[in-house]
Amino acid sequence: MNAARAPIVEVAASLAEPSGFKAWCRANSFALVLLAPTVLILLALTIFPLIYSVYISLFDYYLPRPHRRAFVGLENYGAVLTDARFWASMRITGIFMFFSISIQFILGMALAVFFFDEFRGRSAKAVYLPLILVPMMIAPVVVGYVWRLLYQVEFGPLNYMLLQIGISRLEFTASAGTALLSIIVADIWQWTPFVTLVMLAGLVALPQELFEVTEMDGASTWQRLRYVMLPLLSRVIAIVLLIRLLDSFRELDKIFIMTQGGPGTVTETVSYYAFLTGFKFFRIGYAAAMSLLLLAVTAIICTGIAKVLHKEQIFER
Amino acid sequence: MAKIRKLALTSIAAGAMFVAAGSATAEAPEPTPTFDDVTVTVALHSGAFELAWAVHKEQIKALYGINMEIVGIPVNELFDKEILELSMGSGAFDLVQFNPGWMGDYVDFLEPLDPYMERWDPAWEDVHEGFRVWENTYQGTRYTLTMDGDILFTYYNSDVYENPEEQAAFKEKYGYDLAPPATWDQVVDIQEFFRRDTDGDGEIDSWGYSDPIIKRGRGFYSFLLRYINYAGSNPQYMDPETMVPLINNEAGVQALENYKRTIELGPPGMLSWEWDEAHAAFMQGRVQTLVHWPDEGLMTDLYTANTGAEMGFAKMPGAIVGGEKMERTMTGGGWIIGMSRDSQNKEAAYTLLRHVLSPEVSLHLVLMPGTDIFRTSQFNHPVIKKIAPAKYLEVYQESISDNFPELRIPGGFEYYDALDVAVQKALAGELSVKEALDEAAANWEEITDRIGRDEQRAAYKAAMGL
Repeated sequence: MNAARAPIVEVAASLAEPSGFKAWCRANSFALVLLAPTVLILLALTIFPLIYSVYISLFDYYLPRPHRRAFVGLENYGAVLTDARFWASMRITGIFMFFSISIQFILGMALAVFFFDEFRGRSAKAVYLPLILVPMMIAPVVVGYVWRLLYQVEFGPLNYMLLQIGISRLEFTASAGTALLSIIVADIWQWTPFVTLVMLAGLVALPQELFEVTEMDGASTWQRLRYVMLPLLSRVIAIVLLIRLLDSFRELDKIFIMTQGGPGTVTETVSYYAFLTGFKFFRIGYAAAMSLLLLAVTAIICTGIAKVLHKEQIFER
Repeated sequence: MAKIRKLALTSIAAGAMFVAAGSATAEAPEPTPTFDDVTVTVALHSGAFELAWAVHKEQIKALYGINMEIVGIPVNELFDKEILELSMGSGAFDLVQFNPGWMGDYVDFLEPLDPYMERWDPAWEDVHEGFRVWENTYQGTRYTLTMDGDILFTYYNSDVYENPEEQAAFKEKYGYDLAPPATWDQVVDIQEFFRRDTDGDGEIDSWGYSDPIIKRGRGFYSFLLRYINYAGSNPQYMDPETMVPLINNEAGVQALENYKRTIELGPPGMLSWEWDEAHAAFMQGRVQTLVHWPDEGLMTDLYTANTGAEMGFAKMPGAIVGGEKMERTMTGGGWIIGMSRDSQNKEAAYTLLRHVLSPEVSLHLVLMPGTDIFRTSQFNHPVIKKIAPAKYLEVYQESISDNFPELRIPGGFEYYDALDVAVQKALAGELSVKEALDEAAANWEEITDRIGRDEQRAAYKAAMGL
């Protein structure tokens, strides 16, 4: 009799106890309360808009005529992929990113090495370093206005200096040949300090004995850079490139202020085109499809970089 | 003092007799309503408009019990922010300032003002006819009131134009008399003639002419100003029956070639000129002729102080087509204000609108920077006549009568952008003139098909008064 009753008691006891999930919730209730605001904010500001973007990208939705919203399936995606202006803007974005990031990296690295070598342990670094960081502390819109004035053809200081050394005026942002280059220069000016800052932080964090040893062995600056600094900084370099890549991909402010994508469309990057499509032409479904395709491109780039990092065992250290 | 009191009493008595006589012969106007602490939110172009309207806040509160809340929006964001709010039906704005060219996209979200105007006349007939017809009325319904009398016409350096030596040299070179350009063909001659190095340093520092804006964004207006004249007696953006674009026809090519040639002969960097750069070039005497909005006409003293010359005024250059002189201009922007369909306080919003834009109060607006004359009574007001040159007022009024409508159909902004990009490509040498206009036309076709050809046809006919 007792033996027969034992399983029943166990079952009853197990029924009285909270289920697995409930028990887990009860055990982690404090952590859940702390996490809840973050999760809710993420849901409201990131997850919901993303899901809604996917949903709206399936509609022909022209905002001034909201009553005419029609389901079109994947038509918007097809239209974006066959839109010549989209591909032209992608090409311009590629050129912008390649030149801007490459030069920022080279200059930023050079400045970081310079500061590291010249001011190691010296208080002068505290004076000069903040000065070169000023550009990246300025709002991109203000940077746009500053460079617009610098590039002014008749009265701009750059043309004044060119005239002083006997070179005729350049129509920086007004010429199809120089407009994109002018924006790239402004971007380099603004973001090179960021590269410098992060690289310098990386250099300072490296074991200083290594540099002392290479100095004692008579290694040149180039040899130290090539065989010591770059390999040891590969993690930092990867992160810097990733951040600059993502930032450059969504560059909008300076273009809006300096050229509005012109002359013609020579400075119309894909972010600017997406902005026009969504917020000026109000083709909401089309703009959502374009944004999601851009998100996919960004995700592919990030995944590619992450794979390289894993291969180099950078994330695993 | 006694004389003043007597004059005041006589005026009041005369006024009372006038009102009594009026009431005996016609229905008395409905009294303006008052409200109990109602708030009306007005979306305005930030800066000058915002400041000019804010001055009247306290008076509006005292007279009507309305709290006027002004939301200042930067001009480049006005269209997107307003459309977002209006299309969502948020009712965030009771009154919205916008460009007449955006009417096609705004109209579905606006409250028709006819019922309000019939009850409380906003001195409708006093608004200049060119604005009433082409800015405030759409498909026979009144939706807006003009709040800034923008129109484009010509300013010039009259000392240079009246100089006998210049006149003789010009006549010898071009075979006709030197005068402010009457046609767009003459604009090219003027540009070329005044293109010179005045201080002998080897650099060209003087030019003949500047368009109002050349930079991407609004540079297409300078093309349209030419096109509407070269297109002859019945200019159209599109064929009203088929909606096939007409901007790439012979007149369009002629217009864009003229525009391109003018820029090629103009100051370096002109392709990136905004309105302020064109304004500065003229006001500093580097450019002898300028097509611009009415603001410069009230800056004659500054112009003389800068250049030592007198400022002259003329109508917009036109074109001679088939022996007939075409004389058309555009607002090239301009500002109107309408009431949101979703406003929760429509009567209060209309009362505020009517008050601020009334002949009496709007006179204060046009005396402040940023707002241009738009009422007939303002043109005739002694204060305006005192501060503005008579020729300026004459040219200004004639130009409003020559106003050609904006492309007031749904998607107006996108049509303009497609044209703007194409015009810029031609000016920058990326495409030939014909290729660029064909590209714009193809894009216009695509936009028309996407929004709906039949709907666009109906909207176009209504917008153009056909």
